[in-house]
Amino acid sequence: MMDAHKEAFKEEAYELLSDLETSLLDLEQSPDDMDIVGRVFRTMHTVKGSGAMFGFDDIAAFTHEVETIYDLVRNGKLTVTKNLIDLTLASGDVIRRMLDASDGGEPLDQEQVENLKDLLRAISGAEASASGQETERALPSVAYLPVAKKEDITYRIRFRPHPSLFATGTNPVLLLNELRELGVCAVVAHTGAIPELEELNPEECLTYWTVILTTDRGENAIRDVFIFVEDQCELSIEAIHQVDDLEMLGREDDPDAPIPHKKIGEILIERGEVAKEDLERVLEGQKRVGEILVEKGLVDASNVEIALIEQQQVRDAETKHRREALTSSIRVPADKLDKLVDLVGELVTVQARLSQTAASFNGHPELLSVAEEVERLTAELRDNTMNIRMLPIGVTFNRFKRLVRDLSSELGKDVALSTDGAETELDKTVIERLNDPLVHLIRNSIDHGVESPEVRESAGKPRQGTVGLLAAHSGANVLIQISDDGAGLDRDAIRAKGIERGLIASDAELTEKEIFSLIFAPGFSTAEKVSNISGRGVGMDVVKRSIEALRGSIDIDSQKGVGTTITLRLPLTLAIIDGLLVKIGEAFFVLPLSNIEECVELTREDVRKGHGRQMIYLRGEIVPYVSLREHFGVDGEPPAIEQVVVVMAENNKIGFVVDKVIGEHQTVIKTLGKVYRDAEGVSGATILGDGSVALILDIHSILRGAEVAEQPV
Amino acid sequence: MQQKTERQSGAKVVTLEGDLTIQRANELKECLLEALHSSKQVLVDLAKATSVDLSCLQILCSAHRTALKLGKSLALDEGFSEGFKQAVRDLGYKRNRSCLKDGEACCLWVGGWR
Repeated sequence: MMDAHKEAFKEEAYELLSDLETSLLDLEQSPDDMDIVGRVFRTMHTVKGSGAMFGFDDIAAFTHEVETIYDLVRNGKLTVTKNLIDLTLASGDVIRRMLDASDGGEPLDQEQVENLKDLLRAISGAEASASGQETERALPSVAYLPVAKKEDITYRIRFRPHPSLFATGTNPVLLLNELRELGVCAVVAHTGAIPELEELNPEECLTYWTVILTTDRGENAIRDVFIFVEDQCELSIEAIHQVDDLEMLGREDDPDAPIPHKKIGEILIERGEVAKEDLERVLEGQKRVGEILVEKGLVDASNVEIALIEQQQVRDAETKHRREALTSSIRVPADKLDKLVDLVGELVTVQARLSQTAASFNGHPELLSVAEEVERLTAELRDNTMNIRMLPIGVTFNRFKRLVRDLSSELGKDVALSTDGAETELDKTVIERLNDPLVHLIRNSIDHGVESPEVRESAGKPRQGTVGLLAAHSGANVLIQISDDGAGLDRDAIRAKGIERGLIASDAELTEKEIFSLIFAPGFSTAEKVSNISGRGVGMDVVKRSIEALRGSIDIDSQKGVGTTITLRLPLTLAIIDGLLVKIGEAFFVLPLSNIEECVELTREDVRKGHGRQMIYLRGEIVPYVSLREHFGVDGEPPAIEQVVVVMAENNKIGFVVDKVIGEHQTVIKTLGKVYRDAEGVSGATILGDGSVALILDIHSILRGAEVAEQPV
Repeated sequence: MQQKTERQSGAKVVTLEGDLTIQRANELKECLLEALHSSKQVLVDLAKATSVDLSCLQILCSAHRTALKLGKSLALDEGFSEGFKQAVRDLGYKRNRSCLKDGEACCLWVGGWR
């Protein structure tokens, strides 16, 4: 369980650190914004508190230094400087590495950590010596108080004042009401000690109380209530129940399982109100435990009362927590989602079979209606499941703010990042695999695109350059644009380089798009100087390949002196595509519909006209084609009239020859097994309604293969 | 603090008015003790009680116990003042079931106290 807590802490800490980064970058923009300072302070405080709680002492100790500084800032004793932001960002990195290290990652350079600590202390220390002991007070008095987590804990408070309480003028009502302000609170007075009138001293306090309090304020807040009567009472505070996220998660395999509650008897035994043996003896009867115990004179009624309240309150706290958990969010391991998607995929397949079978039973009305119902439900289930995997791309955007900041200061440029459409949702896998290409593109924009402030000024542009990130939905695709207002692509330089590298003939007439697409060639770079960041010629071709692997496309638009815009077009999800089902011999294949332009017939006559070259004339345009029958070595004779599926790839039209086009097909993608993973020309497989398998074709890799085969040796 | 004997029922009605706080605790104790000694049935009227504190509740509880022991009865008249109800709620005297000492289940504090 402890490990699970640690894991939860780490996950939380990683999240907090990326929040911290965002806050810091915001703070740099508006250093006087006390809200942001408060946010930074609280983040550090939380990391420190829960770090100490779960035994990450190094993290807690280190974070303490940062927290101290931001406490000073918060109290107006320090101002935010760029230096401070730099240090804090570096500190965030150190904490992250500490987390990594605890996970078996690379151990930290202790010297570096100490250096950073010294730097931080220098800032806070300088201030401390300046304003003397005042600072002492500003520091948190209880260093590692785990107040960070806003968790509801139920306490059992027993308050037994000395009989002389009234003499000091204390009114217990005030104390009790103060407790009530802390949270959900039930107060039960014990009157057992009150004697009969003759013996009663009416000026003594003879009542004592048990209070069940559910609060997120921690034990110290409760102690504070009793601070003035401490030496006039017996006080015990016990945490009896903690509503725990992890506990809830542990039960996720059976969410409907009843929440276990302590039985009344258990509570009484735990509190020492009744002996276990007594309880067991009594339990032989069938009445309610509480009633029996009172009847037998084993326990005071007020104690049963409080036990009942305790039970109820714990139950309420759990229910409330559950409800909140339901309305907010839950954490689920990603592989469980993947499994779910997989299962839904299979269900979709089976459902297609069901519909087909139902239709073949020549209008059996009941079967048909059941099949339709299943179809509707499956479609809904599929959409919902896909939806669960969707994440807003904003998380990734935030990470780039840091990248832009670090890069521009490294290169001596002044660049601002503007983002738009951070709420655009994309499949989780797509987002993850998009990260590296985007980093590459942004680096390129800053390194090649945006000019240095001096150059910009002389060109009449503002000193600060802008890199824009935009995400938007466009049909079943998501568009992501990376734009800069830099120098733009140098058409002549690219062309010259292309000729030099033998990519194009020296007299080739190329359109703008064709020239720009040259930069995607492997090893192509026009940067004269190889910098740390770009110019080594690995990059754009890798970017292109990763985007294509995501079944996306990439487009460049650039104007010299004005800027460059790179547009990525990506599918919403990788799990399902719209495909075109085709047949070659007895085998089925699926082509991704998004690339397909049109289908035309290919007669023997057309083939003959090509004189051995695999070309067709399409409205005056020459379109090369690849015979998939040949490509995959399918046996048998092709039909007299074949079909050419014309697709758009790399700005060229190209045809794929198949026997028969069957039609559109909603394709649930199944990855191929290990053995076939590297098979050329195939990106996956899908299961058809009748249970047979169709391969999903990877157009780009088939093309590359065909180009290689065409090349003269 | 007024005491008067209600003829019809034969019960003695003790009317408690104004502040019932520690300053008047001894007075209240004597008053109830006297009522219990002089009558088999005592009804306490709290309709005009203003400020009520713990001492008052303790005395009433104690008086109730005494009554049971003496084989007499002591009850509270239903028309409570807001101040009295407030005190019962705030001090946690409200009960759902009678306490041990109250064999006949006529505890003063069972009720809603709303």
